[in-house]
Amino acid sequence: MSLSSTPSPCPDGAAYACGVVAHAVVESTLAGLAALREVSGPVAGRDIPARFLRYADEQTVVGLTAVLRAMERFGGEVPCLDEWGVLAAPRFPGRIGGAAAQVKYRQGGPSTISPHVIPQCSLHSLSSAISIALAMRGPNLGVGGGPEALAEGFAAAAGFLGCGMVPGLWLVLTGWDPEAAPDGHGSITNEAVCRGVALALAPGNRPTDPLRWTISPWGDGGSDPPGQPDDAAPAASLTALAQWLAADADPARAGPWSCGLPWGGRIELTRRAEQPAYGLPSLGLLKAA
Amino acid sequence: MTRVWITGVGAVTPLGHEFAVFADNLLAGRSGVAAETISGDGQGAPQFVARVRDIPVPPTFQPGMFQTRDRLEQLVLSCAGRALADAGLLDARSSRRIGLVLGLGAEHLRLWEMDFLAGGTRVFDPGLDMPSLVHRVHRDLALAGPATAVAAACASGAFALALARRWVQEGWAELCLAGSADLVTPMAYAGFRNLRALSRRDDSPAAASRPFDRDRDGFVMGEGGAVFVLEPEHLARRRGARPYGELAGFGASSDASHMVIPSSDPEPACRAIQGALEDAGIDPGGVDYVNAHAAGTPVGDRAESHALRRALGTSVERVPVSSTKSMTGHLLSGAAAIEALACLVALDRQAVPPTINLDHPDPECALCHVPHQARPHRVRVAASNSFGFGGSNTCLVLKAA
Repeated sequence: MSLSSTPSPCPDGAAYACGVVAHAVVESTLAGLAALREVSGPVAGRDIPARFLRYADEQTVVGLTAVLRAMERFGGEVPCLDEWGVLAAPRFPGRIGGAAAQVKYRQGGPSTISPHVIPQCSLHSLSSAISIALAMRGPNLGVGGGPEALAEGFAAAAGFLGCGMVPGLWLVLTGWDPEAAPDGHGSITNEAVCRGVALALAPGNRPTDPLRWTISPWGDGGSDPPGQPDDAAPAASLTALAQWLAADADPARAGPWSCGLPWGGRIELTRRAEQPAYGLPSLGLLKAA
Repeated sequence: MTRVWITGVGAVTPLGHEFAVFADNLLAGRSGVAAETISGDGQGAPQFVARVRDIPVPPTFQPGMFQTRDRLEQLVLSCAGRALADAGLLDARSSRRIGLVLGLGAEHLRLWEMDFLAGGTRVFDPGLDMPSLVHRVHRDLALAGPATAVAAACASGAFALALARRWVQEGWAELCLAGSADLVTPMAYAGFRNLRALSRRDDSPAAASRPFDRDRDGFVMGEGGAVFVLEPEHLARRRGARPYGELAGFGASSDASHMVIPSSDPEPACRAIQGALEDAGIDPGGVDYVNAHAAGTPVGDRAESHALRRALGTSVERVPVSSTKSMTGHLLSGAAAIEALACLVALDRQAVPPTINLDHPDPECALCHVPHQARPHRVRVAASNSFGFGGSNTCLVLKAA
């Protein structure tokens, strides 16, 4: 896949827009993640290896599950994924496993560090796991990793989609709400929910796309000075997006969802006025526990 | 499509922090690897690592203020601030829409670890969370363009450069700072050691990193980083900027095979290389030098060799290939940026850096090697491979501007 093999669909500095082919939201408590880790075998047309998520970070578990839910829900609408990319934007990934590893290191030294910590707790871990599980050979990368991960994820997605490098990509946004407070032994000391949002993004404007996504990189389209970011806390942004996505049929949430970018500009998601009927309409939000 | 030039360089490396010093050491075949104790408490046996010392204070900082920042932040600030100064843009940075893309594979794990080793509790207390490093640097340098961190393990820097190039071409940023950096920390060292990814040689530090050699047994960790100023050709020409080279192409793919082990199928990596050449408008025969990812692992070097043979076709017999990790060690998230810098050295000096310690080339890695000593060579086009955990394959193409 090359980066600029097709002409750019965006004029200089302008907004980028594309369709959202499929989407889903998954949320779970830490206790509920145990069940989600057991996924294996044929799921949404893909053969997930046994025990694939055994050592995975919690955000990898909800992120992959969200992609699988979206594929189940919109299976007929998602095109061939083999060449798609994966762009995953977790917020503070690896915190629980990293805290436990640090405590072990202090108590027992270098030999106590699991060989799974680096591959499973890094910023790329979520995107790589999805790429492997779904046998997608387009590029995979992690984005963000901190409080602004959601905005960074959308901005990076526009960069890689806009140049024709990939026919489509999964943008997967994850995080804890509130932020998880690890106890150093693999658990957490607060009541937090781990949430994952999966959006299948594809260039173009198809009538079957349930959502349309627009990102204005700069003010309202190219020459405005930098704006101010939204006041909303990072966790609130992801939560608000998840709630908006999960409420497909709620007339009260028929309006767009939008979020400011830290350097100015905005992200906006809008629903199609007339939604096609999907096979499994209630799987948008899975409460695992 | 707008051509994007590299008009500024800031680097902190085990082989020196200035372009000329790095180039001299690289072409002289010097090793940056030494024996050091890296455990958090300074105890324990020395390990072979390629570390950086005396991170240069960037021009926008007072030394005292700079020393209060954590080490990864110092590394990135030094590279970014000095890249802007090198491009002659330091004073103009607030009036231009300058973006920032950093390849940082495990920023928060590193931050939490160093804090914990110093007695802190950041990892346990979300109330102490800070903005990400890319946004702190964005603020410190008073930049106004878009900013993000990207990660694909050891290919992180290649994605950072690719995304920055794209933002410049799209006009999202007038110019963009892009690069990557990483540190050697005790837990990271232990993690890679326990993965059995590191060399276990204990005879001579300078001989431990042996990419493509029959007797290689793993990589040697290094640290450092590089940040580049990416600028549209027309803007650079208008202000008379010196181009180090053109960032001409990028390709990427995934193995979709394993979280750690590279695929034995050369096809995905081959597609990344071919994609980069296609993006740059270059035939395999037009490549003058390949900076290989080759970290010195038995499986990885062999897989890359097979991918290069497939991607370059008959040209593989004459295109010089070397691994500068033999001298710098493997800088992990910082590797792709440092190796792009090595390609700029090749373009600037018209010479190919060597693979040191390549005493007995592995027959499974049959390439046009440059063992031990640099080779004078006409270099107009250089390709740099970077592959990472999680099956990421990337290739950058840099051309003389």
